[in-house]
Amino acid sequence: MYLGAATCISFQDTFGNENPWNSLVEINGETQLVQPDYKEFVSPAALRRMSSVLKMGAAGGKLCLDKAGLENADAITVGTGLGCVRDTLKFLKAVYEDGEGGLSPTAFIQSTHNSIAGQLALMLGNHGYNMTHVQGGLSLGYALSDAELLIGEGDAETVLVGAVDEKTDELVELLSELTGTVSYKLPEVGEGGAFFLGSKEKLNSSVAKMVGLNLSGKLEVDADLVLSNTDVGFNYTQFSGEHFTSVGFGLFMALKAFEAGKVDNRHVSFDHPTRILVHHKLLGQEMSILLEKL
Amino acid sequence: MEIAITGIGAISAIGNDVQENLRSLLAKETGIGKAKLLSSKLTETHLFGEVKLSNEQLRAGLNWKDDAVSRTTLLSAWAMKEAIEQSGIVIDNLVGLVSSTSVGGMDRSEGFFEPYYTEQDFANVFMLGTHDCGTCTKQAAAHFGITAYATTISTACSSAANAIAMGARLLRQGKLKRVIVGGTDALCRFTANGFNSLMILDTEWCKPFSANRAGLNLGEAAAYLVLESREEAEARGAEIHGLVTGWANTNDAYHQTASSPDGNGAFMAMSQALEKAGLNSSDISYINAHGTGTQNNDQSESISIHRVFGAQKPPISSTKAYTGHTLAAAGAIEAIYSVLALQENKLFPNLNYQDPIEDNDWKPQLEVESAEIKHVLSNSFGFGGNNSTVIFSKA
Repeated sequence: MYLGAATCISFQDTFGNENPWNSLVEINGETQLVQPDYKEFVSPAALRRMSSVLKMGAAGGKLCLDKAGLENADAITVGTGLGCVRDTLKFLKAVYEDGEGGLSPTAFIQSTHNSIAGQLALMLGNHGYNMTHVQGGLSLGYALSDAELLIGEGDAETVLVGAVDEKTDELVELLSELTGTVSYKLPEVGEGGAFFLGSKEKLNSSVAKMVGLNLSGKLEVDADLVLSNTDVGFNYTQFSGEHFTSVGFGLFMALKAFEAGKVDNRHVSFDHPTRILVHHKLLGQEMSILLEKL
Repeated sequence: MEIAITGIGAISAIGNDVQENLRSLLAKETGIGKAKLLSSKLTETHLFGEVKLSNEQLRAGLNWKDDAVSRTTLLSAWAMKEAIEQSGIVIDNLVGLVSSTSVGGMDRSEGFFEPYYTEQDFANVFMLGTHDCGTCTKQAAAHFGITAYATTISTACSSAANAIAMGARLLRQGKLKRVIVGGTDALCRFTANGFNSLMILDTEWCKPFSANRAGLNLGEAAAYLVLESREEAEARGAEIHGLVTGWANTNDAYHQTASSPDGNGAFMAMSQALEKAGLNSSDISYINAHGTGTQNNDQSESISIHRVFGAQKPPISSTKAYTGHTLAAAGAIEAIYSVLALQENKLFPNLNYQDPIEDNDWKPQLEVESAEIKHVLSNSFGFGGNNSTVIFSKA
């Protein structure tokens, strides 16, 4: 599968930025998402109801198609570790505080994991294959695998692949309490949304070919650059924060590294990489993606 | 490549295994009634399709040691065990799992959320360790030693149908030799209140495709199928219970929760699945409809069925009045019923039907009936505009 057009909403200036490698800033607990003007993508009325994941999905998916010069894709596959956390917690809170009665359905409707992909289909008028994978740190990996299978089967030529997760103050508090019970050091929690256009044929926007996808470990291969959430390579989570789909940020930065060619700054230095390994390991789930520059 | 079904397993409100489910289907015995295990105020006013086994009974039957497990995972492992044992497959690194769930470990998480939201008590926060959907699949996969491929699909009520299709694709692409596909969802307060807030729960038995239908009953279930190529199955002398011959996943792109009035997404799903199977609509012997009993679904699904089948409709029924709507498990439990229809040459009835929907030129199948069943079309539709159809055929 070819990959090229990509968008990323993250703690960095990545959305619509063609060379984000030179503007990286280390994050801390106070860092906020660098968000686009969502009104360019979604009507203000719809925007008011939308949680962060839904906004990231709508804007990220749409701009990714624009960048590929496509009106639509044949299929949409989204990976998310926790889905619509904000609306899930909001509805749960109402269930317990209001004593299981007189509840507004809005948060429930928007709590299902597939509302990110479903919302995008609705916005794009996309009647094609629409899928959501929820597999912890492997969620994006399985969304990519699904896209590859569809293309292999001849069911799609273009697939919009997404990786989206949001954080809320309450989520961070719960994670902190939860990890405290097992003496696990909670990394800096991040959030973000990345979208990729996968295609069967090489498009004008194509940048790399995905030549390897391992959903159960590390690929033992030579690569010019390794982007990882661990110290086996350049650790991207110091810029993205950690979350189930932080590897979306890693994959986005890999594609941008091919395009940037040479980067030499205080964080990183590489020179025209042609093979990049993107690696992610979280809570016992490990995956890697190998890309080759076109 | 032909996709063979070599093992099936199911647990639902009408039985703890496939044979018990079949017995209830044939005896027209619903499993929907007063819930005894679910902790929710809504059990006083509403009926549920609850699995009769407690978590302790499930854990004991599975010899599941770890306490940190949700009911969703236990149900899933229970049904997987039956499917794996029936198929006789050995789990190796060419066996994968494509599971599905909509709420994941929410049933267990609620043990934390109740004291947390009512008294700001964090004591049970450890219960969130099994909250996310991926953990349910990860735990079930680990229980059976599946390491090659294990993912969770969450496309609301169409999830398991998509898991079956993805399994078929994995085999055809040669990524796996065998794959266990299906879905699971346990009842919990979150979904009970969610559907109640949408005002689409009937307080009596649901009446799919009946003019006076008043909503759905929620249920819980898990069901799994073991899939492998016909060639593989025959080479190892496995019994083939049926074939997966067609599938499609489309999006209605009409509304976040409601189906379009013209049933566009469903029409496309059924049409594309027929095309994939290389069948005409007249080849279908029985439709196991999504038929939840809500105004919107049954109206929209009726229209889409009419658009695909015209005046010549095969027998149609929804089995949700037996099990309740089991959400992410629905497509899998109904896949098992579709396979049973093929194997037994039986049509299963649509319980509680009273009057036809205006404009419908058909009535659902009302009695158990013997018939030559060659191809069964099963629909699964969900929030988010997700529409999926799977076609099962005689081996």
